[in-house]
Amino acid sequence: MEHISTGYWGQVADRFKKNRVAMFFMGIILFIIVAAILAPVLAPYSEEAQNADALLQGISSQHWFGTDQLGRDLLSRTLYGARVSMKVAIITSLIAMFFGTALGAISGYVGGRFDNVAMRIVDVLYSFPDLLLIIIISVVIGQGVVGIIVSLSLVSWITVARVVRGEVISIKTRPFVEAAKALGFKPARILFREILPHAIAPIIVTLTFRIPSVILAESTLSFIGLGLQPPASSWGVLASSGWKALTFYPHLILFPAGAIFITILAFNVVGDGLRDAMDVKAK
Amino acid sequence: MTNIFDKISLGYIGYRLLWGVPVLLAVVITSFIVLRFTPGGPFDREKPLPPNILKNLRTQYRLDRPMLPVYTMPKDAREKEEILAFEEKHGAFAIGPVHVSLGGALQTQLFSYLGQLLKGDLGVSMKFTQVSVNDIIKRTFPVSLLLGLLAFFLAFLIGIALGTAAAYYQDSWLDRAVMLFSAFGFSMPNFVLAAGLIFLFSLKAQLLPPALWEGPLYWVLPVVTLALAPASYIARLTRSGVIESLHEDFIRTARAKGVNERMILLKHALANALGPLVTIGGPMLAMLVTGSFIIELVFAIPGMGRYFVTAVIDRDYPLVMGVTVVYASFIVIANIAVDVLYGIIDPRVEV
Repeated sequence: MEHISTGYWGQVADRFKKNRVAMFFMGIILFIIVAAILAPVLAPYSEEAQNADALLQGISSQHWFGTDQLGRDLLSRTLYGARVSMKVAIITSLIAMFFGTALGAISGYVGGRFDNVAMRIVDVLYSFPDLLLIIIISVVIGQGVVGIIVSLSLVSWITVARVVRGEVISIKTRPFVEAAKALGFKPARILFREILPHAIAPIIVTLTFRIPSVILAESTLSFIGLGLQPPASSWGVLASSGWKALTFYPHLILFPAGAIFITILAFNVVGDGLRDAMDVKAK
Repeated sequence: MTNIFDKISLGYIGYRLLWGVPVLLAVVITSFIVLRFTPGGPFDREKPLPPNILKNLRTQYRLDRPMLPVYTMPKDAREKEEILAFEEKHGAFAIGPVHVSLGGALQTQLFSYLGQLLKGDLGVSMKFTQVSVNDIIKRTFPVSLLLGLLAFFLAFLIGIALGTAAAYYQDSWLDRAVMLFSAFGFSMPNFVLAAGLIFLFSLKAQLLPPALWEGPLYWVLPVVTLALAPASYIARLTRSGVIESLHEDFIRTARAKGVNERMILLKHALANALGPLVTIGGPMLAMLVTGSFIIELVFAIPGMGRYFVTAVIDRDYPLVMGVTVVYASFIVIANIAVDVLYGIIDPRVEV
């Protein structure tokens, strides 16, 4: 007999497990995260080890992904690149999540003039070219991991704030909120203990979609040389150096670019699966 | 049938356009200030300029004056004449112990820039000396606009066709193929797709040029690259919209009346699903026109995005500001256009 879970989260888990495609890509994500964590153990060579006897080699049993122009093993570099790319993506998404949720929730709950002003600021930020902001911040803080995390967080929180604000506005008129008010709870308690738990599903879905868009932004910036700089080697940095040798050594761009694509695809598919399983309407 | 101009009052459009002005002004002022406080200057070179030339250049562009003109009084200046002389010298007035100057570099530059802007003059580039920013934008914006518009129409054409087909044959192999295409297209970074297309069609098959912007043949790869992600998104949006409206009562009524299937699909179901497509149309067009810098860099297209990236790196202040103004205006106008269009398509919305 089939086991049927009770409760909202049990049902969500049941529905998600039935989605075979989403489960498959969930496995891919776990695989990538484990590979990133265990890169020092898994990598057959060190990240920076150069080998003058094996420059620009193709795929072989010694070098599964080939080697670059300094004879560095591309499989090892792609594994270490996963660490940088995933670190930037996850930390940035969590920061954007935190500030976006806080500001969106307060703006939606307080409403009135505060909300009006906040939304006008969001209007201005939306009309501001992201690229200008990102480049300027990376110049001020430096083109390291910290700089890219700060600048991408600054442009990412707005989307989250919009989603959370909309959710809070629709939840705050429901009867249980009225009840909490009638019981004399403080506004902060109502917002964070009563309203936000009901918005947790769309917040999780938004977080899942934030990660691939941060990976995309970071790799794009690094690809054109405005993001991370060598020796910090995210997948975008690796793809950037592969691009220069596209004509004769396409394997140099194939593997890092493939890693970027598969990771983004996996998060998008899992995000879709979660959205369906949690029955969240808007993206 | 009512005249659409009855719905769209000129007053509303005027109101929305007026609201765009403070938004634009805020973007201009913020960019101006943030840009000036960014370390580095337009005359930083790998091989430094001779000090006297650098000094002259900085004086010419008035970059030698302090950004935040706040002065503190010398401690020993207690006499009234001394204070007055100090204030006059710096064009300052006192707020407590701090004297703030209105004649400082930032304000005067900002105000004179805004004055210029009102006359439609964006100044002269600091990198490409003697070339006005207006000229650079006049030359490069049409390229970005054409690229963005072509991608926009291609994306809507492919997206709506695939989305409608997928919805009509819901849960068939066609539907699954469209959804798979959509997931792939949505997850493919522009530069990865560009590299793949250039490798296959330019380097291996030698069918299409890998770079530059010389004619329709050159447009194919960049436009396809730029259009893929929005096409996937539109396909999904269309699919879910059409599926939803196919379950509506009016579709059953139409079928019962014997309206043929093609009319039902196109005139009733699809028309009913257009709302969300129009809503994303504005931001999407703005994104395609202002966000094509990566495509322009990879395909060496002489568009505005490419100039923007190099201008920010070079701190070419007038050029950065000029492009920012054009970008922001475009985004604001595109969003207003969407609201107005939405009112035309959906009569329930009061415009």
